[in-house]
This record gives sequence, C-alpha cells and structure tokens, in this order.
Amino acid sequence: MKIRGYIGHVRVDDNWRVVEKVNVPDQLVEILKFNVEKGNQEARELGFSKLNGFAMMGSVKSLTFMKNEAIMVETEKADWQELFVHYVYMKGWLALGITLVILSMILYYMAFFTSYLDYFANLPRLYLPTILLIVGLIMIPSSKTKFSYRL
Amino acid sequence: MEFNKVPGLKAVYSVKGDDLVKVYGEEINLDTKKLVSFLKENAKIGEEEARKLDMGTLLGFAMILDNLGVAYMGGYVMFVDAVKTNWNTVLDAFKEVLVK
Repeated sequence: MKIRGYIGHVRVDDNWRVVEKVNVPDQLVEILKFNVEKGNQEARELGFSKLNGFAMMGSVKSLTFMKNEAIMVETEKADWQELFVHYVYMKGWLALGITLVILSMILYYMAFFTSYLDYFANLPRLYLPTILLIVGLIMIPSSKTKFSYRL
Repeated sequence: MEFNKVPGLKAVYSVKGDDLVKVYGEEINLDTKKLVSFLKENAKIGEEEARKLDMGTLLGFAMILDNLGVAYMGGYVMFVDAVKTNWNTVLDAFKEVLVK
C-alpha cells in the first residue's frame, strides 16, 4: 500500500506483541501501549467507552495509531484523511472480495465448461457463483469507505 | 470563518486557564476542566515521546473517543464527528486559526 510521506509502521496483536515492524524505533510499541492505556482511562473518566485511536503531529514526523497498527509519516507530506481512511478494513475486505470474485469465476467456468457440477440442475449450479460474485463486488468498493474505520 | 468547511465539525474551543471557552459551534457535553487537564498532561507526555521518537517538536495531537474526534493544537480544541470528518480540513482549519 502506498501512503504519502510513509516512513514505517508497526502492527501488534491484542497483547501488544509485535506482528510486523518496518522502519520504526524499537521503543515505539512501548510508547503506543502507554498512550493507549492512558487514553482509555481518560476516555472512561470523561464518560466514553474507549479510545479508538490517536494521532501525534511532530514538526518532522507524525504518528497515527488505530486498530493495532501505527504508521509513521513525514509531517510535510502526510495526507491526514488518507491516513485515517487507511484504517479501514481495506486489506482484509479487499482481499476477501477479490477472492470471492475469483472463486465465483471458477465456479462459473466449472458450471459452463466442465462436467464437475453436473450433479446440480442447470440453474442451481449458477446460484452459488452469482451470490459470491455479488458479495465480492460489494466488498471490493466498500473496503475503502471512511465509515468502516470503527469496525 | 473557515470552520464551516470542516465536515462533521461539532465545535471549536480555546483553552483559557484550566477550562475551555467556546469559539464556534455547539455545546460539548463533557467535563471540560477534566478534558483540559488531560490534554495538557498528554501534550507534556507527547512532547517527550516525540523527542524520543525523533519526530521533532510536538505540534499537536488528536484522540478519537468513541466516535468523537478531539484535536488539540496551539491552545485550540476542535471536536469533530470522527466518522463524518475529513482530517485534512481539520488541519487546515487549525492552520488558519493559529496564523491569526
């Protein structure tokens, strides 16, 4: 994925173990953990349920954290909307959507040009790939909506 | 005012002493004094963290509490609907008030 001004990123699991780390300082995870724990506490004290994410803007580099992933960018080049919108389920949804579309194509192919699906009647053998195709085609564009940042 | 260009903007407040004074928008229903003390504390922590992480000096920060975006920079606090907003416009609005 391309993010303007991208420097590096780190992804952690729910127990703050590093899953993926690219070009960020070692102490970053510790700092993130501290900030999220503190932010959650503050959120609760202010009557909210939790901190969903945060951003820090420095004169040289900036940092965003949301959904177990922190991204570091050059402040000058950063596109903030892009950064926040990046935190949609993009990769997962996009990959799944594409997989479903491909799967549906394979099933269509099998239904029309091979005898593997002959066990099913003519129309029913098209039901599944059609459903997969529709779901896949819905998932691909919806993988990039700003509404999904809180999923 | 350029604030109306920010989608999902709820309000702009400025920090006065240990409390907030409304500059624009609707009333935000939370303990503003508590928020100010958190913001100041976080700014101090953030400054140190920015130094440790080689980010330069801390210009500002934002937190998303549930669906409320709280952005803090140069003594101003902006409250936005985190789902509806466009963060670039939030930043532009900040630049504008800070230059004035």
